[in-house]
Amino acid sequence: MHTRALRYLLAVPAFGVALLLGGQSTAFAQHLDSQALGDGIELFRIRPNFYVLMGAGANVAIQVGSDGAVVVDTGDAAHADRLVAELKKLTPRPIRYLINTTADADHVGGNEKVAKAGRNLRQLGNPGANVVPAAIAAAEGALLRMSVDKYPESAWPSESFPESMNLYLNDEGIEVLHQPNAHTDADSLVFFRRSDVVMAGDIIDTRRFPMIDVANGGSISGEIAALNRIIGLAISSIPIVSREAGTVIVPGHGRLLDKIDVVEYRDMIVILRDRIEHLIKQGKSLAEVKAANPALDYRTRYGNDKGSWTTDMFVEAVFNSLTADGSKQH
Amino acid sequence: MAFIRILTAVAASFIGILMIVCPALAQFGGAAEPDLSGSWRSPLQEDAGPRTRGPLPADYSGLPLNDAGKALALSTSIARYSAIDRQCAMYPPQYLVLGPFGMKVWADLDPSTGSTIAYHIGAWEDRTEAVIWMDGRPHPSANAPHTRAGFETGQWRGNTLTTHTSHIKMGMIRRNGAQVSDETTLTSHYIRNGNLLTVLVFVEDPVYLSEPLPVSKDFQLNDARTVSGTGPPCSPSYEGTDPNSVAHYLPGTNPLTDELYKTHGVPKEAARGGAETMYPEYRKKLKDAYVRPEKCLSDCGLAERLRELGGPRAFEDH
Repeated sequence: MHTRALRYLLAVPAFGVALLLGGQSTAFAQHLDSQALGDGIELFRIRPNFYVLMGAGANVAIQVGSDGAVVVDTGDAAHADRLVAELKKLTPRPIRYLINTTADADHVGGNEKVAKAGRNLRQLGNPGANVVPAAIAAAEGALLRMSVDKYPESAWPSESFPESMNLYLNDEGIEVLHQPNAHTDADSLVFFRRSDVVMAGDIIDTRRFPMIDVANGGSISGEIAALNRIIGLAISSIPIVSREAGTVIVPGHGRLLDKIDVVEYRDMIVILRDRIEHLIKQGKSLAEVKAANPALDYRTRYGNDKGSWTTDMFVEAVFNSLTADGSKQH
Repeated sequence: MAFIRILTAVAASFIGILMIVCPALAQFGGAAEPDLSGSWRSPLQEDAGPRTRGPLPADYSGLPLNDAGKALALSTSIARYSAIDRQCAMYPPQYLVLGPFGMKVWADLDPSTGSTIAYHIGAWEDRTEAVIWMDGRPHPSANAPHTRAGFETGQWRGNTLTTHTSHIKMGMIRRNGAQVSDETTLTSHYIRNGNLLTVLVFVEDPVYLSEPLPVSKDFQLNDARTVSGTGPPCSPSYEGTDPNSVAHYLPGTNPLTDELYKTHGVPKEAARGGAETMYPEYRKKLKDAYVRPEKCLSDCGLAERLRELGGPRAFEDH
């Protein structure tokens, strides 16, 4: 047997052996395995050829197969070498495509190194040519932001799109769907049709209220529209609920989700939007809205009083968004 | 000497046979751990009303809700649970003791040792199947998904199986809007006394509860009639909820906060719940505020209210 093919066949079972021998690994819900890789990094195998790496910046998705690896988001720059090393353990095939869900540093920080570690599909018919890095795909808004945010050109998206982009790699359709004015104006959802996995990017952060970056085009109405789109793409474990199966939604940060988790998150955001909108209609100022504590029942779970995204900042973003566009969308 | 050698050999053989047989006997005899398997019916000897027809609206008395928990409960409209996306969401695992149904339990055994790897608690209406892992496996990491059943591990101590459940979804602790978060954990004690089983659950939530909430329920072994181990399929359909909004009450606008006062004379303050309302001493605090209704306004009062509201006739004679 060809050596590369043998390495590929061995790579996936090796994960299972590592789980059995590692001692730190767990099995969950009969179809999910996880492996602690050290330094706070954890690898979930959520489908036979689909992995999620957590703890290296934003969550990273890795789909592997005969075409090579498709990687959604590349984490932060500090973990780029580590990500490349883990990718090589998962597949001997080249990294072919990187897809960015947004342009934030914790999502695109590894772009340059991971792309350079890959090999562009355009070279399929010309194996002797100089290596061209893997393609990087993202919404046009991401390209615009990265080109002015002082990223090296080799980290920029090489393929951008205004609304959507489709790929068919490793025997499945992949839809990359731009979601305007949500977390920012550079967001995309990535829907792996056969794996039945949605990468949500920073439209969902299970650790905190969603970061609505109004300065970079984010808005509360766009955020809610994005959550509704994810709910529309996802399918619950119906009619046999006991199977606890269905679409897996991977947030930009935090734990793995199913459809009802996103419904819960969406409902919270809609309720908070309605409360703040009601206070605005009563003529309350931003200071008065903050003082009314509209997020009282959710701030223990999702709020922060310190850090880069506080509850007050979230309330202010919703307030500014509502007073700026005045639109309402469930 | 020959006799002694024969006697020694027989004794040694007997001891050898005992060494082989005893561990096997221990699997079936008195030294074995208790078993949870069987069909357990729910006699509903306590809280039958709230467990079947449901609680009164906005009655959170006896729940250790903190300020966030009270605010969340009062903002929740039950219409939200009729939304298409929520109809098949099922209740969280504490519904085993909060709901009216029995349970069917069966075990997965290790074929080589006979030890119990896991107990399965079968699904039923609004409750999914739960697995109690008995093999000492660790709980998943914080990044793992949360499920309707959660992740439960257990260990027998005498006649009591004590379990710990994590990774559950946000869900109800009373079917009128009182909820706990996805950070909730459960400590459950399955206490077996012959054909009776008491399940005592402590619900702990750092988000919405200021103290653990204890809930208990009794079950009775029912060999004559098998309790179902599978729930019915669930297919959502339109139930009148506006698909373009999320039903909820803005702060201070819940119209149902006086239901407990109207039907039982219990002050609103008590209906809002809180840890102190769990304890008998709280009655002293209520003494001056509580006005006993002149006539029966309890369940019969509910029927009156339902008549006033044009509610279903099925409840009138309850």
